[in-house]
Amino acid sequence: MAKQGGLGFSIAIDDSGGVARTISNDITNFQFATPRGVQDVTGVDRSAIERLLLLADFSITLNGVHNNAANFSHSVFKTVPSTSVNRTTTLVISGQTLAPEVLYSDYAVTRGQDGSLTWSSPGVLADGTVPTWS
Amino acid sequence: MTREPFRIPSRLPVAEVKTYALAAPQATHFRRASCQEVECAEYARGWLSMIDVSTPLGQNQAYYIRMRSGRSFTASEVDGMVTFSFPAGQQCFAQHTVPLERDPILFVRGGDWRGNPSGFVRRHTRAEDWVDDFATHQQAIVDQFEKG
Repeated sequence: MAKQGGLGFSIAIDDSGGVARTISNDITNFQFATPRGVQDVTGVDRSAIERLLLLADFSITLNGVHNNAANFSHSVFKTVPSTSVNRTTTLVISGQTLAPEVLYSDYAVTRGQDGSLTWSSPGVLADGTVPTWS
Repeated sequence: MTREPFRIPSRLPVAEVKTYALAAPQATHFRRASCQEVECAEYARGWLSMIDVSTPLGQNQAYYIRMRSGRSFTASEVDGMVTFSFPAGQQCFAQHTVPLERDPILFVRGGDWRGNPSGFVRRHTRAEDWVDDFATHQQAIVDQFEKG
């Protein structure tokens, strides 16, 4: 197994079997898109149900460098195209934890002209529960 | 080759979204590493490289392995395919990297992967501030949910 570093953050993603795998060393970019503001969303639609659905519209994008070591990023995401499972995505930074349930929709691997091998995996909130820090 | 990954479409217009992001770019937060540092399986067990020498690319690859790679190997050829067998204990051809263990770049910006129409960007210098900003925002959404 490849060695772990001591980054200022930690990201763990469930593999398809529901086992959390810490892949922080492979991550170059983490993006979490959330509704901009409660008032803005309130104005989008007059229906309370629709408004609440919009407030639960979150997406996540992870980018990283390819790593085919056991239980690292390739091992975790290679099953995205063949499975439909919610994956707990746990971000720990500064002693705080955010752990939404995410449905990942792709695992796109790119080979750059410089020979680098990178990947991108987007997902959306899977269970309608607004993620909060704890 | 680059392709845009498949995304489940957002129901919110891009102007109604904001993004909390952290970044550890390869250029500033990673360095190259040897096979030993990353416990590379090819280094530990050796590996095979199969090269199609009927193509110009394969011929160039075979030339590189034989004349310039500096690795030890044995080779066998069958129907234009050359199999190079590299014994364990030498650097593989992959470029490994390891993190420099720097704090990530922490920022908040308007929009999402579709763009940032507002142009809003705020960079936090302390992780605590980024988390506090993020947590406060999320709590406002939860409060709205609970009101219904």
